Amino acid sequence: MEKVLTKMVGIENSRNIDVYLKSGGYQALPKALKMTPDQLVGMMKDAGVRGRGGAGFPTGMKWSFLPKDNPNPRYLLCNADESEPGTCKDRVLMEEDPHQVIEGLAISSFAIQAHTCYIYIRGEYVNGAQVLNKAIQEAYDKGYLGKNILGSGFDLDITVHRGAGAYICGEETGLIESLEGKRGWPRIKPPFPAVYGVFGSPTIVNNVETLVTPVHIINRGIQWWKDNEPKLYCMSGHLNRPGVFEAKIGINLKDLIYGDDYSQGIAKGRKLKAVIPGGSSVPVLKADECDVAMDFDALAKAGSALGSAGCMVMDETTCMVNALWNLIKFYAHESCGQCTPCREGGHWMEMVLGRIETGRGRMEDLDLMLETANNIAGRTICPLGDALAWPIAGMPDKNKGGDLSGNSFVTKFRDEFEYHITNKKCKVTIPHEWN
Amino acid sequence: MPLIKIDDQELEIAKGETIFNAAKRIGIEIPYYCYHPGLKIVASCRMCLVDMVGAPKPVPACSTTVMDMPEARKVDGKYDAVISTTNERVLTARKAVLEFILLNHPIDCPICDKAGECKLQDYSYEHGNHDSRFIETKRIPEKKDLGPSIFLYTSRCIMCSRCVRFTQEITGTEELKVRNRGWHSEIDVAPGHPLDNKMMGNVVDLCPVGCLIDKHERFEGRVWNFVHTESVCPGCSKGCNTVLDTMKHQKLNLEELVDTVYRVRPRENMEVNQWWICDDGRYLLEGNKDRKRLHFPQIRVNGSMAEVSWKASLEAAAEKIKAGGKVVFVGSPYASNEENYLLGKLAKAVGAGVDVSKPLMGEMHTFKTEMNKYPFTIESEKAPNFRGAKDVLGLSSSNEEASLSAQTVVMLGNDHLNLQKKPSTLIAIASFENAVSKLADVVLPAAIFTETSGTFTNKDGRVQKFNKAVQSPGEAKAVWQILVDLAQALGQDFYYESVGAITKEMTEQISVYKTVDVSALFAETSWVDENIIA
Repeated sequence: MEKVLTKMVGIENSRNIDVYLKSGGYQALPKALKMTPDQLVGMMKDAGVRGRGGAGFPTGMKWSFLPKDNPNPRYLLCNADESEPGTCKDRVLMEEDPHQVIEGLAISSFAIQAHTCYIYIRGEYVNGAQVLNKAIQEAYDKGYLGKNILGSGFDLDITVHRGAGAYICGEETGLIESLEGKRGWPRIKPPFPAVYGVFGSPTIVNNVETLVTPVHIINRGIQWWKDNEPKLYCMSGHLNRPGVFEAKIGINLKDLIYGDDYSQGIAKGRKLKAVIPGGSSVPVLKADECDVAMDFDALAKAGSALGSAGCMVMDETTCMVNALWNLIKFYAHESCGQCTPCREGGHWMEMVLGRIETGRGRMEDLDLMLETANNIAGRTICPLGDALAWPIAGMPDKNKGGDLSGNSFVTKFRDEFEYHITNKKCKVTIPHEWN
Repeated sequence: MPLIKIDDQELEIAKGETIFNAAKRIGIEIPYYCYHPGLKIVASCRMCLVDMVGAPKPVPACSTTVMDMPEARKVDGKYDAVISTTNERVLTARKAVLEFILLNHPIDCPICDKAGECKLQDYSYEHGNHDSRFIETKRIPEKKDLGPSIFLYTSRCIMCSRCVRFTQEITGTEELKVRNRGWHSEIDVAPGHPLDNKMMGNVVDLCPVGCLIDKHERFEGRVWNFVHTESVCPGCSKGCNTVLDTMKHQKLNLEELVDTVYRVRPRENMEVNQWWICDDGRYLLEGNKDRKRLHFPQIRVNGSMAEVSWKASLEAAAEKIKAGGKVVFVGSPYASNEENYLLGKLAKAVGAGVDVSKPLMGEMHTFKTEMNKYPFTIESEKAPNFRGAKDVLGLSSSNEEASLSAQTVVMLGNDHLNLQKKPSTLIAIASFENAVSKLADVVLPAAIFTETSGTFTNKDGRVQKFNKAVQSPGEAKAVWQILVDLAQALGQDFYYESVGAITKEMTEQISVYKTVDVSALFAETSWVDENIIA
């Protein structure tokens, strides 16, 4: 399959603007500047682009929420605070092909008529920030950024802002607060950022991969996009060939795991046990549930979510209690501490799981966890509470009146949890060569 | 206007009005911690979650507003929102929030000063679980000393962040911060920058639990023993509305019970002080503790003061006033309208002149921040009633220097006055031993503002009533009683049943006070909280 998003990966000096130009770069920008902003927003709507950061919100619709009569300047924030465990797609885009990102940002900024764009990059991506800064300078020098871009009269400045190492600053309003120099505590919505965002002005916050899409829609057309929508999948875990792979959206998860073009199967010839398909915050899939298309709707139907497409594959040697403990530790650590349920509940769950893992669990702890997860999910300002609860107890279920379905770690691998509690040890024995 | 239904009650709500306020309006109480009408809404405690038909998850009542819905989206064809504050989903959410808050709470109510007026206690009884499912070890951070008057009992904190928002939005001093993240979050101050501003006492009132504790009040009393009395702060001409919490207790070497003011709290008055008072006013009575109160009438005999009976002192005073020469009655900006009015009336009756002494002037301080709609100002005129005293005495300004050169001066209050030269005869009606009382020939011991009732007129001309909260020490009497007795000793026929009778007469006599509604001023204003059971 033809690579689109990752075309430049592997090419020598792919970060250089001349190499990017030679391979057909910066062709979409002049075309976009000849269109009207409304046409561009309409194009995104027609193409049906959904946000690639996790929630999958339709991008064109988000852009059209900007108020027409607000006199304040508009801002585009590129969310490059890629902190979801198991996700590494934006890093590839920024580090290997920064000009594609810049071209996408320029087109998107023009579409929403923003003259200032911030790239909020996570603090740990030191290299990414350096690469981006160098590329931005090159783009300024060639006239793709700055005043009067390509003679169109459109001005744009892009600034790279490095985060300070907080998962919560990847949440759009937490990101805005952090960018404003405040503590990264998410805001209550409404008002949404499109109305009251950074510095109180209308703001659009989108993921890096989302903001790259208009480049290819303009170059290849809406119909091509609808037929061949490319998506980056981050494959990690017990695989022969982990990494970031580009595939058509909706590729079967089994193909991603076993396909020769992709991860080439489970390492050391072991058996597949479970997959977390969309970054650590989504419910886990058992091995027999892995015959599923990797797109928003199919995964939602399977009781999980595409999220950020960070696929974590676990083989038969994985202790599911330990795996969940590890995940919840992360979310408890990263909870900002603003709302009660996530602040207190997250750490409590970490403690309960720690007890079970270390042989001090009680049978009632399992129901306690399911109930508490329900008390956290949907009761917080931002989705971190959900991200914490879903791995424990699954996605919200309409049939249960919005309560969590229960289809995740604790229910799907209940036998392992029970084995841990009664026998005070792991059901899986880790083979010798791992120690 | 959107039409909504809350728990079977229909009502129309204004655009921008929150569900919380709408519910409050129709008498439905929604529990809350982080919400405060004077502070930014953060909706972080999640205690006020309510269920809204159509919403996928419970919504916080404190921040949710209702818009006019298009016809197709109306519930039951007419409601823009249908809200339940008591269904199972809401009750489970509340129970869960309380369970989460109590995970780390030390539950040290027996030694906590907030016990009895603590929101966590109240809601736990009403909505909480009785048994904890938490078998892990609680996190018990150390108590912190935040500054000159506040302790932070860190372990009791529920992270409502009201105190942090107060220092950001109201005082603009930003001493309080949240430190660390998640489960380890704590309120703290930066090293070298203690919580030290002129309004810091308010954070103690703001704290819904016993986390922020006032050093002046710590371990001094239990709230269910308090009697609450509405009062007005005499600290400056702003006239902040306050509540005096008093309690009877036994003093050493005294057999009877003595009541003392245990603390001063702000009382909401949107037009004067909103929800706050400054620390100058809050700790005003603390300053009096070091001063010597005058308990008995005194007269000067052969150059030194001798304690005598009321009868003897009043007779001595009357004799001196009648002795001849120019007599001036000097009113006080620290005394109530009634006291000054009576003084003026008496002066007129005996043919003496009247005057009023100048108030003490100090620093004016305004707390201005971008977010605060009502900047709080501490006025420079450090007396509660200069305007009122001038009104009722019919003066336009003070003529203190000239008055003090009169033959005989009857001086009301005026603690701060530093007399350079003593008039030939000085009669002082005073509460504390001060420069005036030390030079006086006759000293008549008077009650202070907590021991009597009356009205003050603030700088804007607002007449506000303060009430008697405690008994006077020794034989000290209310000023109006002293003046009535003095009038009788001077052969005048003055008789008043109560302060209210003086107020009534005053409002009839003084033209600018004709519009004051006396009945509203003299409603019952002292109460015992009967919800708290001792």
